Amino acid sequence: MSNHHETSLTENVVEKWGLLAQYENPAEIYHACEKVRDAGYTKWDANTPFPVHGLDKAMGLKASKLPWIVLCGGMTGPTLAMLFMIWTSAYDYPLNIGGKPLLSIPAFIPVTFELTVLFSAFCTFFGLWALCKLPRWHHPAFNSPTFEKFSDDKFFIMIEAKDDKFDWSKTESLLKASGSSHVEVVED
Amino acid sequence: MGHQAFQAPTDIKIEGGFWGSAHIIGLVLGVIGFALWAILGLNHNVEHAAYSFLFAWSFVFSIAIGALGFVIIQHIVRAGWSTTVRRMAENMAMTLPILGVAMVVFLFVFAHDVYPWTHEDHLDAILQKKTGYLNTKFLLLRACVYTVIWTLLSWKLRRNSLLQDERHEDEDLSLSSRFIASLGMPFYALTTTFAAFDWIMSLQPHWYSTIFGVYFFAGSMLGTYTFMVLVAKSLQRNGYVKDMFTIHHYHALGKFIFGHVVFWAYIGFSQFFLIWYANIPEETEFYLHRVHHGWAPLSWLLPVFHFFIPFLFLLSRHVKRHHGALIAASIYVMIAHALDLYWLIMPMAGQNHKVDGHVHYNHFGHGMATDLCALIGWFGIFFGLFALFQRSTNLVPIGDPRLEEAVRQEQF
Repeated sequence: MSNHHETSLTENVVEKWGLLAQYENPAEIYHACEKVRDAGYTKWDANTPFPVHGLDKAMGLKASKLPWIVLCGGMTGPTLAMLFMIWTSAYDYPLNIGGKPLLSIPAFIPVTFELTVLFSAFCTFFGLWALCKLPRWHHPAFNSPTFEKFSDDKFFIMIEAKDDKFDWSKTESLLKASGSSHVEVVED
Repeated sequence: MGHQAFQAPTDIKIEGGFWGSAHIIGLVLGVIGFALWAILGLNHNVEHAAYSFLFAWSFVFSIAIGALGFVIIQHIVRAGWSTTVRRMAENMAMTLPILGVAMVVFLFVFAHDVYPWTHEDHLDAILQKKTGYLNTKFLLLRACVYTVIWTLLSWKLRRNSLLQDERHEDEDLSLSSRFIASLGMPFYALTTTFAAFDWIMSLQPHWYSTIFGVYFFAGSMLGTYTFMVLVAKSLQRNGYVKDMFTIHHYHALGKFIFGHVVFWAYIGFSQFFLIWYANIPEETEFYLHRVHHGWAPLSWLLPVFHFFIPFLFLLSRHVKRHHGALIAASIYVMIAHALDLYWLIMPMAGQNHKVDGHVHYNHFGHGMATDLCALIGWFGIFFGLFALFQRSTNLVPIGDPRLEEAVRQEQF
């Protein structure tokens, strides 16, 4: 069984997406991530059944770009709201409401506030989609029956073959040396 | 993940240094402040001096009452992260009994100089209908009741925490504190709201705003969080609790300051918006006083000082995690909070005594030296009392079962 497995790793028969390595506990995957990070890989990811503290550091993840996207949304929202209300209320269709000046900033504040929140929320939600490359209906990792255990009690690292540093045998030995209990090929 | 086993400290108390004599510095500063206040203010204009006193007292009271709110909320939600910083808040809240008694004495002596509804000849048809609530005896009684409630809450919650220092990891004490906090929460909310009504809102007895208590509370929490940040930084600078307050605590407190800046603005605008929109004379009175007699610039600048600048500054994660930037923001927001209370209280000074048959409302900038002396006086007394309580306890609740969680927590 294991011999058959080894040959399928080295002989490229079907189109292969990358390697999947299984770990048994948070400590194992934490140190394995440090090793993969130090080896200089970039196109890889870790999947755990629950958040593992400090894993982002072990993986060498940089700060997310999301706050900047949200900031842009948070500035666009109130600007558009203010301009639109000033245009409609004071220029395009002036209406005297309660004897207030046509251009009454206090009256525009609630909508400005709401649009700030709305645009920020949309930018957070869809910005996260974009950064996660969503929508995506299927991920090659799901081709592996082993991977299903990521939502139960196992921890996984997957490295894409597209990575510049990737080499089928070297990457496999790296993952095995990092303490993985099981390494397998993921088909695309 | 390479974590070493957590060893709870056995004894962290203040030994010498700045914090060893901080109570003396504070109390001396307080005495000097009050002496100058008496010479500059009480000698010349009793009413203005009484208003200065009320303003300065409100500032330190807001810090203390916010601290009690903080302790109560942390217990109710079973917060783990705040365990180490909670001891500071417990000691801040412990000044409430003394501040409460001071207020009762102040009302006993100065109520007639401060509150227009204590003057028989000021009572028009509307105010006469309010005498059931707005009368000196009931005012004093309420002040006593608030003080008793705050004393019970702050004393009992602090006592539980101190007992836990000795009886290590006694879960029953945590449970008891959670019970007291949950039971005390409605009392805390009501007393704080009505204290703000009684002592600040009734300066304009015709005017009322149901959200006023929340407005006061929102500002108070800013006083509390900024004071906590500054004390924590100072303790660590003096070599204490180096590994007990982490960057994550500062980040969390920074987020609270940021959040309450927004909360304050939200409540402040909500109050203003309805009054501006309805434009009814008895409601607009509040803002009218604050755009006359030189108060207009402060009224316009308050949203900028108290909201836009700190909002934009504290928006970034890096600022909240930066040592110097958070200290600067804390000092700045604390000053903005003092200005907010100044703006609430001081425009009404001078309303009770007619000069040449006319009421002369306090012009912005007049008697500022007296106000500042009173502020130094009360801040000194408050700081001195706080330092005294800090000296008498461990600097963190060493027996709390969630101490390890607090030390290891992370903010993202």
